Amino acid sequence: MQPNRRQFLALTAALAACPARAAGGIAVVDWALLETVLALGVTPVAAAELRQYARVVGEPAVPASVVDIGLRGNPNLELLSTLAPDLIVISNFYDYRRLSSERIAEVLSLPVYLAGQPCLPLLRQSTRDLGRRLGHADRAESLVTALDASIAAVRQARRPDGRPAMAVNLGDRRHVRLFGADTLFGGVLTAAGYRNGFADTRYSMTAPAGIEVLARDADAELFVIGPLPAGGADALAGNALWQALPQVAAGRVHVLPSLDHFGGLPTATRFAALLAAAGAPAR
Amino acid sequence: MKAFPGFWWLVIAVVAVAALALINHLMLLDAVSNEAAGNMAFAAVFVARAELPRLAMALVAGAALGLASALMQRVLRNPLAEPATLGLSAGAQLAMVAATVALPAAMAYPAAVAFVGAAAAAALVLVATARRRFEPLSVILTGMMVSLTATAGAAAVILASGDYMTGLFIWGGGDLTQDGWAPTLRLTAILATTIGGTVLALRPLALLTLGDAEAKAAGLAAGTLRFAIIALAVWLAAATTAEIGIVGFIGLAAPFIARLTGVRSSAGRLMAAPIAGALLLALADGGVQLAGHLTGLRIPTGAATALIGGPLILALVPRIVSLTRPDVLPSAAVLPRRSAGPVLVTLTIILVATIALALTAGRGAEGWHVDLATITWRSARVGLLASAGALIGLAGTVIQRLTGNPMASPEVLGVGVGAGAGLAVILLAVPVASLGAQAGGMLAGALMTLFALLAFVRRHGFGAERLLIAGIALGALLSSLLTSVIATGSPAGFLLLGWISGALIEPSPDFAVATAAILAGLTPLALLHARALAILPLGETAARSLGLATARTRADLVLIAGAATAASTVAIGPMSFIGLIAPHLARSLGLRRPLSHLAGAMLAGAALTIAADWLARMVAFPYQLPLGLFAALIGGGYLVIRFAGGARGGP
Repeated sequence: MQPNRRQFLALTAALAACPARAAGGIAVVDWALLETVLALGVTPVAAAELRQYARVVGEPAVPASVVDIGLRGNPNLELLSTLAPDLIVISNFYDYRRLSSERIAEVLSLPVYLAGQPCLPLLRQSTRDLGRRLGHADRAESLVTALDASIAAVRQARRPDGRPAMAVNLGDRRHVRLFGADTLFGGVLTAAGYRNGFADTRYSMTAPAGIEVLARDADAELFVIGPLPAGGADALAGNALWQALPQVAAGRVHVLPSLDHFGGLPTATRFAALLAAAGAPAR
Repeated sequence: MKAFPGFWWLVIAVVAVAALALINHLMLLDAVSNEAAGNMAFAAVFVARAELPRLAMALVAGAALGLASALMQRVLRNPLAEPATLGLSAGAQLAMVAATVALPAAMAYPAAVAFVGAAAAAALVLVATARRRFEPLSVILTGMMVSLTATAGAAAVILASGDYMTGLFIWGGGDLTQDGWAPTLRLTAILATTIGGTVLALRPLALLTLGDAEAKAAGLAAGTLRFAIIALAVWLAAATTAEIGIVGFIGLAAPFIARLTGVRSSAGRLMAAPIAGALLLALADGGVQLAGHLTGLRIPTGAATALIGGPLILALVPRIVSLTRPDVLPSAAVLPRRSAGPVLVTLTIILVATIALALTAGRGAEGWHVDLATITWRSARVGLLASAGALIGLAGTVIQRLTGNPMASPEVLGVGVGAGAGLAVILLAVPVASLGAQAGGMLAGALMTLFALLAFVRRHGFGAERLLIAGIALGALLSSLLTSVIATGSPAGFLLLGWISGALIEPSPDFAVATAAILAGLTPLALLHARALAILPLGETAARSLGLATARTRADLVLIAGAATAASTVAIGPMSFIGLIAPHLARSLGLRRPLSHLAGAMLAGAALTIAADWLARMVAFPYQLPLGLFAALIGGGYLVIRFAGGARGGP
């Protein structure tokens, strides 16, 4: 195919247009830290996997000026380098790619989830560190206070009857992911005075546990964290297996909206608020 | 009453299935129940709507796979034919994924959609191998390529629709979990219809074994009968895939077991195959459930059946009378012969242009642009890709000449997945292994696979077909191990997944230099064997009479090809078609002498790899898609075009 005159001109124009280089600002690769940065009132220049973030986390909406730099596990460093940020914020999940990011800017790596360790103290510390680094230590402190207040509200709303709770996410109609003591949801449940029905986290991309594990603790309050699998709530309503679960039969199931399963303090606060609204015993 | 042959086997298998089901049932009740009444109510529903249908589905689907494979094996006279090796399952899967995204209304009839995909895959394989008269080895190799392309296509469709994670996990394999009886009943109806059709076809099939001429004399349209039976088998295989996903090797094992039990009559074997398949899948699924209860790990049944498939292929190899048809002329005779110089210069120019494009052109925050500044970011990457692509082109040329089969490729040697198994072991043992340790694990895995391959082939005489079949078997075995690790979804599984799909992360300059050094070391070694590479395609006898100690020479060449494959796999992952198409392309451009063939294939391999990676980064910018995906799509597309052209032109 011969390029015509218009295409040739377009190509020349493209060659002439040097990409504009915005200087400064921060780039965030981890979602928990992204929502923390936004909650601190800072708008980053770039962040990772924003299309999926909008679907899973949703609010608050990421400002349109933030450039999407691709996958969290494999961000487009070339694009990131043209944006020339001062600081790249990553979490312990992405430490293995730290070296190549350091070619672009200073890298700040903060832990957000470590298997086997309680999650909330980790998040509190990382939030404070991030606030100090961005010059908003006071706002970071108020994020921590907000979480404590919403957990206190859950404690007040529910009767202290020692009933256990389970936090799960549905992988498909037959498989679930379980949030144990080391997760954000497990941490909030325990802080709010529930006994977590699952000591161990069973979380992977393919939901690792059969739905029958839920029947082990028939008394538990069941918190189903979004997103729901294909078909949504209608599919659950028509699923005889789901309907036969003791918690479902007894009406102790609370389907919550989508939350980032490895989110930060804002997600924890939102989860606590949902608990307070849903967990108030109306039996 | 005298027990029929295989009676006791049948009894043992039925008892084993029942025992497994009972153990699983008790473990389930133990896990679910405490004293609360609500739990017992749930357990009752679970048994009625999940446990029993799952057992029934295992039996029905196993029978369906057994029957479909027995029919295909009979008609194609190929003991390795089954829905997975022919690419039917992957074709059905691709059709269903595409329909789910593009035409959701069609998914009201999943079996019909699956049939369209499976039939297209079958047509592709059969048209492509018609000229070689459905020679078993060519059918299997073509089926494997169709299968890989369809899998890559399905992944591409899902990735393009924006669901990155789910898309990658499509490799998870078949799953038998049920939550009702509808799927089992649907499949049972189709199985019953097919059994009816098979009973009607028994007598004509028996005539067909006498030979086409005799069948014609008896008033039988052999072609029509074959077509009808293949269509029936494809329908059954497609319906099975629609309900439970891809479950391989049951179809391979069932007719084999039917033969082992001592059933003599061919009609009896045809009927014994579904029974063997049903029991085998029920056993495998029971074992998977038991493993789940004991370890808490969820292994897809499809991965577990592949685990028995590898050894089975190896066991089948000695029983195969002829894998190749010596009366089929090698197609090399009709290729044009050009002088090498201009072709190599053209290929070099293309490679240089590709490198220049990959270094400078791309998308940025402001849209498409050409920018010299990106060179600093891309030089290590492009250098690594060029070396790896050249290595895989070299390996492909050596293997195609060694086996005299233009459909052979380094991917089929199983070395790539061997490297993956090595990586898996390292990642499971040391969760935070350094990049160096990971590369070391991959090299060790690749070399161990290679030596296992050589040992097997040496014991059974160094035939080219044996090498290919053993490679396919090892590959199936190891990739099922990989699938199991990936299916755990652990961090190790996640890293493995990235590597398998060729999701190349930013390579360091050292890595690129090391790969280039391996290329520089292996190239002269391959060139030293130019004479052997010229003679070996002529066959064992010719090679011996020309004074080549062939077993020794072949072993050397396998080592060279294996090392090159291992090095390139470490760099860019195992899912590349480039080792298949680069030598093919070079040969069809008229490069027929070993030296120019090698050089051409290396140039083409480098250019194709760089182009595939550039596309993988640009198509969904700034989201990087897996390189292996684009390599498979380019490779599959090339093969389809070649075959379509070949079918038109005739021999």
